[in-house]
Amino acid sequence: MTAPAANDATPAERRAALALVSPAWLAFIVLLAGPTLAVFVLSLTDWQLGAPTMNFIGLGNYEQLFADRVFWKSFGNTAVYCLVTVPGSVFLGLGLALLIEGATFGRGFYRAAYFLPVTSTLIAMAVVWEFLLHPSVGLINIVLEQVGITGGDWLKNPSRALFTLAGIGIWQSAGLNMVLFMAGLKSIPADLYEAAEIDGAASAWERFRCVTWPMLGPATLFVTVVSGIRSFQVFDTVEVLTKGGPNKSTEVLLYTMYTEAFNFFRTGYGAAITVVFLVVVLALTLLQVKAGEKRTHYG
Amino acid sequence: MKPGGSILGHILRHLLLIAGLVIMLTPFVWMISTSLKPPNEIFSTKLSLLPNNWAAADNYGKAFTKVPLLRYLLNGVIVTGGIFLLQLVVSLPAAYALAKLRFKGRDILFTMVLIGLMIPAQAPAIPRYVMLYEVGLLDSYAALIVPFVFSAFGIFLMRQFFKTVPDDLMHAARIDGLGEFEILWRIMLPLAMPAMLAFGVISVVSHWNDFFWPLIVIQTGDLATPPLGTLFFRNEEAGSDFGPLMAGTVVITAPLVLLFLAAQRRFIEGVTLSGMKG
Amino acid sequence: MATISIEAVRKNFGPVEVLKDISLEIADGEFLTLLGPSGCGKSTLLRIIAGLERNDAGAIVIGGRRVDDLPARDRDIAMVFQSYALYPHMTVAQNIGLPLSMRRMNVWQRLPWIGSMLPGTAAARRTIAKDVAEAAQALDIGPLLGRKPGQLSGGQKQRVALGRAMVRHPAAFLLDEPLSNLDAKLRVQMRSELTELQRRLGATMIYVTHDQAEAMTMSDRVAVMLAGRLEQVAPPRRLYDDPETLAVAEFVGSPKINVMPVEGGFHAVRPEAMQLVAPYEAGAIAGHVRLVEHMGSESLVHVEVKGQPTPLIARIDAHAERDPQRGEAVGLKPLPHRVLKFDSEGRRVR
Repeated sequence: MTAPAANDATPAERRAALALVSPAWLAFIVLLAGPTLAVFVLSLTDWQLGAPTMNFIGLGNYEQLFADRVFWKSFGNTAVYCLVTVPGSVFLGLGLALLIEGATFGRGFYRAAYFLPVTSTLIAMAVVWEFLLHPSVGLINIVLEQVGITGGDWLKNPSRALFTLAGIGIWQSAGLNMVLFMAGLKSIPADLYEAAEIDGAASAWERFRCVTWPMLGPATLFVTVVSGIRSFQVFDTVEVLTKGGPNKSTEVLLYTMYTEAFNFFRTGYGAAITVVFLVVVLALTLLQVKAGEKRTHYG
Repeated sequence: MKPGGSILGHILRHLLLIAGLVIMLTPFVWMISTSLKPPNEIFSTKLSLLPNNWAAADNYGKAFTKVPLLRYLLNGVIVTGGIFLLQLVVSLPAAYALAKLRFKGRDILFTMVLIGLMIPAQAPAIPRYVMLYEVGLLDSYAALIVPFVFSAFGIFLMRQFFKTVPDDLMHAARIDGLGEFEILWRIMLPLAMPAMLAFGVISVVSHWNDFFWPLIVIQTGDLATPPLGTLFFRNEEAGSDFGPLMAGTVVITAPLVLLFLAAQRRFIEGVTLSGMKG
Repeated sequence: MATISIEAVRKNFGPVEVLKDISLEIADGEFLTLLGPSGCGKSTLLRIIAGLERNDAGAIVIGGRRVDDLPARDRDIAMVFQSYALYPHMTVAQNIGLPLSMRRMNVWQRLPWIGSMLPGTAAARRTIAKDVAEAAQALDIGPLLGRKPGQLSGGQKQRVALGRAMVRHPAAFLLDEPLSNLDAKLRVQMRSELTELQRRLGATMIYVTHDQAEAMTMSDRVAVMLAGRLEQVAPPRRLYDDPETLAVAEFVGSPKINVMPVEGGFHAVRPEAMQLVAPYEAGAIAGHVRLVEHMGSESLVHVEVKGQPTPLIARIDAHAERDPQRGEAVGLKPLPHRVLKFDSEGRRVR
């Protein structure tokens, strides 16, 4: 359809269109497409920022990367972080959405309050969390102390630090998932509930099982993937709270990329990590597109 | 969802929600509480929400003098404002053309926009850094603003909006003597205000809170955005003087939180939209 | 005001031929209606005349000037849309005044703030306000000038759209189903108002509609378009009494004309030219009454006739004649001078 449509346009319309889109084209090529493609090219070189020479080393960076224990540790940590944060924030978000939407009053208040962490600057809140988690003067350990539990060190204990960060991740993103689920709940026609009730689904749980959950299924898939993509990009809390430590126990992919590319200026190697990161995010995004198609199919 | 259930159910529901709320809001409450307390009360294991001796003036005073907090906030305004303005300048004309005009390459450009939606901001970071390094623009406002001028999401969102404007309006405008630029400026722009606000919320929130990019390109304290400034402050304190530090985080978080409380509906709508695109 | 000629215009949308070789001359000051069912290409033709769409072949000449390569704004025409297409964020006065300010003020004068400081802006704005007020007066919408379109009724929006079209005295008016969003009563009232307005302005108007009543009551001439082709262009009366093709005969007139297959073609008879007679009368077509519709002053008698796929209809005077009963055997006899004869291709045989 496009080709004949373009031919239908008057010359003036075509000229105007070109003028209107050219800034976007230029910005797209220079600022997004160019740099993204350049990452792939750089990942095939041994270049270090400022170095006078640049050699193509084929897949050398990738070979080095896949042989590096730190990379696998980092990749594994990122995966674990996602596997904790995603279910946590999705179920919390779903639960909150159901509880709040079912309430007869105070819905706006709850929604706003639970949404607050999403809009607050994460770095500032990370600093607050650092204080809350402080082993001796932190609120959390003081409260635990009073019920007889020794809290210990949340961020310097290698077996615990990653899960602490995941907890902060859940705290920060549950509100976002909540509003996404609320949008999904709103799209369920009210007469379905009435029909279910007439058909004998008397209890709230029955109605949830027969109506809400099947109708929300595609939305859940979608929210899960979106959460996955967000969690995979975890960086801020790591940089502020643990710097990948202790003993690389919170080293995550973006943090590895950041240190390699911008602390050690191993540009080519950092680019290779970026490519791995990008491939995973794109794979998740394709999943999201599929989920989105399903959603429109149902919707 | 249909509100319903027994009275017991209602009570249980609200108890659950309030319990959850306590956990969710504790960081905010404790941050404000600590920012009002003198050191001896902060380090005491006795818990109280309000201080016995108010040290707010001292803490906030220190916060504003130790680091240029206002400067950070100003930088935040300049950077997010600059980004949003330039994003509009680039996105609006393209979105209008994509939605309403017929021209060669329209489908290709729209495909590129859809692909652009999928690319996470960190992916092009290294080459962008190299480019800024080559032209000597690292550590500048330009370094913070220019890389984000192209917004696939902005173009996408505005195009979807322009699609909903009836073609007849545009035809009437052409007959009335308006050129394409003037149709955009006089007809489309005023109509697009709600969509632009939604986009503005998303753009401003994400760039105000962005930490990754400023961390990479900014060394000078005077150019720090609020998140980066927070880190500078924290590092300066070496994690000991919590009163002023919490006062600082209150100041840094306040603008967006206040904005959110003032315009909740639009905020949630906007962020839901961006969540939808991922 | 001006003449408009459409010369051998063709238009394809992809593989679909929307306009097949359309030629038409519209006289200065004429009210011409393009009548046809939806999808016949009449709106496309109007858009081509307006310059919103390009013709693949042929020419459009307005006032002796070939305009094919001119953008819409330079063709000196005005258009009224079915949806009115009023600018929702502008007041009625701004809506009507926009085409004037685009023509009488330059780019700089039109800018916000800066514009008001430039010489000539104030004077231009004053004359525009005067012309807008005049147009509003003529359409009886003076008190609405400060309102926004969202605060207006359908009929009021319609007048504003007309005001925006007439304020700059264009060479021709193009109207695309302008009355179809109005309720029935208002539509009838606007019909006469529009014709009166057209006479007063002496304007050339091309009016697109699928509504026969509008076409028949308002036009000097009606151009019937079917499937991308001009079937006949004639004054309303001629179109009804003297159609060139069977397609036109069938499209114009309600209830539909009675078509009867005969040796080598068709005979078509309008319902009011069908006399109801005794079934045995010589030359009558015998049948049974299937349905009688009372319309008030007249009745429509549907008669089932053997060999006829649909019942034939006779329109009889409800007061002069007795209504036949359902199932009653009757005869139908066409008035001889009202029988229209067509060949097997549907062309008129005289």
